[in-house]
Amino acid sequence: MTVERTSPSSVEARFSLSGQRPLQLERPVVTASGVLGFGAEVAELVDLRDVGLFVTRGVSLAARGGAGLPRMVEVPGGMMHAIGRENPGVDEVIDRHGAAWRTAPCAIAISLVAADLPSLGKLIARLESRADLVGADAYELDLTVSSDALGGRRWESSLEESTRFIDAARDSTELPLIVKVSPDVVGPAQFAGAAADAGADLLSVSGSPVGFLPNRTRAASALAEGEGELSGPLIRPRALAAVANAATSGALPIIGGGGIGSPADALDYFAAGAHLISLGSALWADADLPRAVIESARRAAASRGGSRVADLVGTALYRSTTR
Amino acid sequence: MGAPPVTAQLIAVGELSPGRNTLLLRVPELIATLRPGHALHLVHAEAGGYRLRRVAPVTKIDLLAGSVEVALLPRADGGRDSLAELTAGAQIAVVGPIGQPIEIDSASQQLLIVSDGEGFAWVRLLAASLISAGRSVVLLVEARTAVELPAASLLPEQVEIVVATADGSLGHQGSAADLISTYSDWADQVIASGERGLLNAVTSAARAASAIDRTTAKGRRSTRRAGGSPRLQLLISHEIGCGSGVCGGCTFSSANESVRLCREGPAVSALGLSAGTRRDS
Repeated sequence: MTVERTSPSSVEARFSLSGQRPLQLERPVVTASGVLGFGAEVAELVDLRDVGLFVTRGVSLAARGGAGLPRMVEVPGGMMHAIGRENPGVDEVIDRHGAAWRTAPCAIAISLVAADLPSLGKLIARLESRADLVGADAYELDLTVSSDALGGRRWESSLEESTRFIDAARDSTELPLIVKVSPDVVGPAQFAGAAADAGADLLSVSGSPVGFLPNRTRAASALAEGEGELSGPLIRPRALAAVANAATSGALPIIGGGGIGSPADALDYFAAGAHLISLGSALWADADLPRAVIESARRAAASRGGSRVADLVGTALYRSTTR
Repeated sequence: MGAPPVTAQLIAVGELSPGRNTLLLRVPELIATLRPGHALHLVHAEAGGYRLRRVAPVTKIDLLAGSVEVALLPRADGGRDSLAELTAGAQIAVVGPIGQPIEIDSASQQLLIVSDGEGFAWVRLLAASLISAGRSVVLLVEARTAVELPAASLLPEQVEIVVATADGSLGHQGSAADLISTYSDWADQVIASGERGLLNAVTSAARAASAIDRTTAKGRRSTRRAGGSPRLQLLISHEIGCGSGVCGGCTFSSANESVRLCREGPAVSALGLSAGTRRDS
C-alpha cells in the first residue's frame, strides 16, 4: 500500500471548539498554569506566537500568601513543588496583567483558585465585571486545589464535589471552562463524563499528583509544606494512563500533560488521546519546545498521510481494564 | 528563558569539603558579569533527558583564565549528582548571572561572615573579594565535626577563620552563632549563610548582641544603616527554578519583604526570617 505523503507545512495544527462556547487555538500547545507566571513577564521567557493557549498562574478572589521555603526541590526523575497558589488576589492581578492578556498573540485562560463555592462565584463575577480589562478566552477550574468542603483534600478527590464546583462555575460564565485534574483523579473516564454533564468544555489531565519526601536528615519534610506536587518524567506514565482513560469516554476534548520534555513525549500524549499538549517545567530549560512540538506533530501527521495534527489523537488508545 | 544559555566547558571537578563538589568551568562570556552572591543556572539533563535549571553559587572567578568555579548544592533527596561525575571537557549549558550581588557598604571595613558547610559556597567568593578590596574579614564557620569543615586553603590567608564544631573536635564546641557576641561590636556588617537552624541562631544572637535592631556600642542602628546596606544579611539558598522570577519556587515571603531569590536574592534582611521559613530544610 502506498501512503500519499503530505507536506508537514500544510498540516493543519489549529484546534477548534465549536458550539455554544467556541474556542479557537492556532496551535495545539498549552502552557501549564504557574510555570510562566501571570503573563506580563512572559515576553522575556517564551515566544507566545508558538503557543495556542497560555494558562495563567492561579488567581484567587483574595490574596493568598505562599508556602514557606523550600518550595521546590529536585527528586528522582523530576521535581516536587509546593508554592501554595500564591497570588495577590484577582483585582491586583487584573491591574498588573490584564493589558498583557488583551494583547497576547495567543488565547488566554485564567486559572481559578477557590476553596469553596461562594469564593468561586465571587471570583468569576469579579472577572466578568472587568471583562473588558481581562480579555480572557476561557477559564481553567483547578480541581487540584484544596477544598474546604473536603477538609483540605483536593476537589478532584470527590466526583460529587467536583461536579458541584463545575456547576457553580457554569452558572457564572459563558466562557469555555477547562477542568484541570491530576492523575490522582479517581476514574478519569467517569470524571470526564460527569464534567461534561456539569458544563465543562475541556478536560485538562495535566495537574500534578501529590508527593512527599523527607529531607536529608529525615527530621522533616523536604518541602516546608510537607506534601508537594510532582512534575517531570516520573509522572508521565501515570499521566498518560489517566489521559488514555479519560479519552476513552469521548466526553470531552483532552489537554494532556505531565513530564513532557521533548517533542517525542508530546507525540505520546496525542497518541494516548490528548487533543492539546500542556507544557510545564521543561520550558525553563527549553524555550523552543512549543515550536518543536508543533513541527514534530506536523511531521508525524504528514508521515501518516494525515492533513491535521488531530489525526494523531488517540492512535494508541486502548480500552482500560485497570479502572 | 531570559538570558539564553551559553556553553561552558568543564575544566575540573573539585571539592569545597567532603561530599560538596565544585565545577571549574571555562565560560569567558559570563566572567565579567559575576559578583559575590551570584549563581549560575546549570541546565543539565538527568537520566531520561529531563532538564532542570539547577542553582550553583559562584565560588571563585579567574578573570585571566576565563574560568569560574561553582558549587553543586546537595540534592534534597540525597540523590547522586550526575554533574559531579562529568569529566573534563564535558559541555554544560549555563545561564547567569542569577540573583544580585551582596551589598557591602563602601564604608564597611570590618566584615563578619558566618557560615556552615552548606552556606560556605555562597560566601567563599565574598570573603576573597573583600580581602582583595583591603577589608578585614572574620569567618565564623561551623560543622558537625572537623572533617566536614571547608579547607582553610580555600580562602586568602588574611581571612581570620574561627571554627566551631558540634562535637568539639576542633575549635569552639557548639554553634558559630555562639561566637557572634565576641565580634558583633567589631563588625560593620554581618553576612550569614547556611541552613535555617544556623540563620535563626545567628539572627537571635545578633539581636541579643544589639547587632540588628538596636543601637550598638558604636552608635550604629537598625537593620538598614543610613544610606547603606543592611547590617545583618542572610543568604537564602534554593535549588532549582525558572530563574526568571515567575514560577514562585524561590519566593521568600515575610511580613517585611517578598524576595524572589533568583532575582533579588540571595540576601534577605534578618527580620522576616522566622515568618518566611516554616521548617528547617
